[in-house]
Amino acid sequence: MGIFKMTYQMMLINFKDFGYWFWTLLYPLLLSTLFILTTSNITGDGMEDIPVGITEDHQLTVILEDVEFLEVTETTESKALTLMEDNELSGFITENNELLVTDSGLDQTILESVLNEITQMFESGIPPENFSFDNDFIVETHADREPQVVMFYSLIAMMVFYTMFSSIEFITTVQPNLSTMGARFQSSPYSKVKLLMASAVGALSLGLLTNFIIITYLMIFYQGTLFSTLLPTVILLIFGNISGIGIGFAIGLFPKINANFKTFVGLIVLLALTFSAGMIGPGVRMLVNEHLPLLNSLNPVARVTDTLFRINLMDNFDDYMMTLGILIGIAVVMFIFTLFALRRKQYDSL
Amino acid sequence: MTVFKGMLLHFWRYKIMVIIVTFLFFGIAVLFAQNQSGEAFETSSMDIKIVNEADSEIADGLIDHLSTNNDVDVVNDYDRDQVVEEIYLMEIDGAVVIDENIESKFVNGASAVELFTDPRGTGSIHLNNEVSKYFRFLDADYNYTGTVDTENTLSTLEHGITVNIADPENTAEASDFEGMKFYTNFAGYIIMLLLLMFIGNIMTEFNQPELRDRVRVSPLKTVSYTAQIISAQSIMGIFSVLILFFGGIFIRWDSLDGVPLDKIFVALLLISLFTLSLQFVISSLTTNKFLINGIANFISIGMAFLSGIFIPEEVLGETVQNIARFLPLYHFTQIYAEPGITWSDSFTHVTILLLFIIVMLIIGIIFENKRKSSFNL
Repeated sequence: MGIFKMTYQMMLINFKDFGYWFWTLLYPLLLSTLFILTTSNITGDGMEDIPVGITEDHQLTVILEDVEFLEVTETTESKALTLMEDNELSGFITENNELLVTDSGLDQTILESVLNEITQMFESGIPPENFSFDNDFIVETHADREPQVVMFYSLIAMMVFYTMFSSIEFITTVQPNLSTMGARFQSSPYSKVKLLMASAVGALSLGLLTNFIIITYLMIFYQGTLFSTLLPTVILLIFGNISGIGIGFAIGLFPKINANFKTFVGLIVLLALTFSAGMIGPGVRMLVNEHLPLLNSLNPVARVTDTLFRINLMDNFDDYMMTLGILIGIAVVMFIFTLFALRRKQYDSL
Repeated sequence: MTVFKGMLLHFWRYKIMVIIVTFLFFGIAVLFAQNQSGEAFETSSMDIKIVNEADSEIADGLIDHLSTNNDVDVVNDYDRDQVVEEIYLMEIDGAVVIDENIESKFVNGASAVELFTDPRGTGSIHLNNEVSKYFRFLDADYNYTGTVDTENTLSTLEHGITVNIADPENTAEASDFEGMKFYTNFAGYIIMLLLLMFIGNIMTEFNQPELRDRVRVSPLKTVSYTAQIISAQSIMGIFSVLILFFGGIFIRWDSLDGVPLDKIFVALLLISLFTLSLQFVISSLTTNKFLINGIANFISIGMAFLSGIFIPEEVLGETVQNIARFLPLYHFTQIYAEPGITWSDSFTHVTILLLFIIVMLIIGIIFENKRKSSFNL
């Protein structure tokens, strides 16, 4: 059988499996839809003034009313406490110029800072006319935050490694001690390299097909921009898919464990790597980067996520070649390992 | 008890994997549980990157001022793309780029630093306010004395007002509760995901046609077979609940004031029972491992997103919040929704979860009977 026919047969096995399509195509599409629905408001619509209460006829009321980001309300302490518990006030200024809060947070910290400044001006001994509020020593540059894009990129990064499931299936099937088809392959003169290549090409073709469908879906339905440099993105996806195939071959080699459990192991590991890359929200990614920085620098899913983000949104190709190198490196090592593991094996009984 | 033992042996075969996976996700849950203590007021800290291109006393003074209450990362090489990227991904709250000619620019009243922040966030106000304050005091001192004295300015900026927490005990309890709540929310998701996937994959082996046919022709009654399967699965469910419940207590043993542990335990137990009943439905529908993994993942991740476990509920929008009310994971989170929640407050949500479990079991039995009726030797 020629290598093309073998590739076709390999593709056909997965193509006919509804479960495969649900897992590799429908699941990412559903997840993309979920992300689109839930993350549109993640950065908020804008900033609101900080509500602060103050005792009636307080000497600081006039000064505080001039601060543009404060919303000052004159009230009593008991009413202020109720309002603070209902999150309608961030703090309350008492007659003794103390700040009363029910919680520690950024709003309360800003209030503390403003009140500190007023105290500091009095205590500095510098006459008030020396203070200028018009001097502008600062240039402000707006840098918008859109952390939800990482969720989409990590979803795509996870998806490119899905090719591992086809290769886990394949490599388990060709092992003579795990399947009857494997026993037939073992006793046939068909080249193992050809078999491996046919399987890899089949998995890659199906993987890329699902990748393109999902990217097209995101380009149509996601309101922001996710893909501005298509060709480098496609090349990255191809390398990611190849790397996924290699990893799948290596996982599939584990002896005496059936394909189901190997798939489960691959899936759990991939999920954990994808979570730490940011798929379940920017919070986990930030926590991992803060507490376990090495994890995401070694994590191939995080690597693909970061590179996708940089090349598409930052126009930054600094780590592009490095990521491609790592992905192809993983694939080459895994392919060589697989070939060595499969060659010249002997079995007492098939 | 052959089936029961067989199934437990199956679980035992994969013990190392189960332990590794459980602890892996337990680690993520621990990350979710990070929060600050609340007995005394704590000034919020921002993550600020400072690019210092100057060799100047004024720049050093600014760095000292910002370092007082914030996590400051000072670098000398300016990579604009890197700074913008870190803000974009919320890795830092803002950045300050100090001009190399800060001294002359300050004396001439020109712009001496560039601030990078997202104007939509409160952090933008805070950073701007803190940097402006430093320059305002330095400038006032310079106008008054004719010299630049950063030491004097920094010492002036050390003065401050007193901030009091209204009810320290309650605030501390609320803070302890928040940490445990985040942990339990994520633990509920882990239980769903792992039980659905792990038991789902084991059940694909038990539901293989050859094995099922052997069970059917055996003298084992269906009720006994099902009871043994459910018992073995329940042991796995209870095992995972115990690991995650006591794991949570272990990592937060000194911060458990105000935490409704009894409700949390019941909630975890109910969500594991719901997961097992859902698993019963899925395994009576299919033995395809891709389908099982896909459904398990989508249901657990989907519910977790919609129920506000990964992203705060308030940013999800009204429609999504309304959908969440119909999901079991939402009612799971509501069983322990407040620090002092009573059983009567939790009762409705416990009942809804129990109803979900009963409904799933009924659906599962219907599908199972349908499958049996189509059996031919």
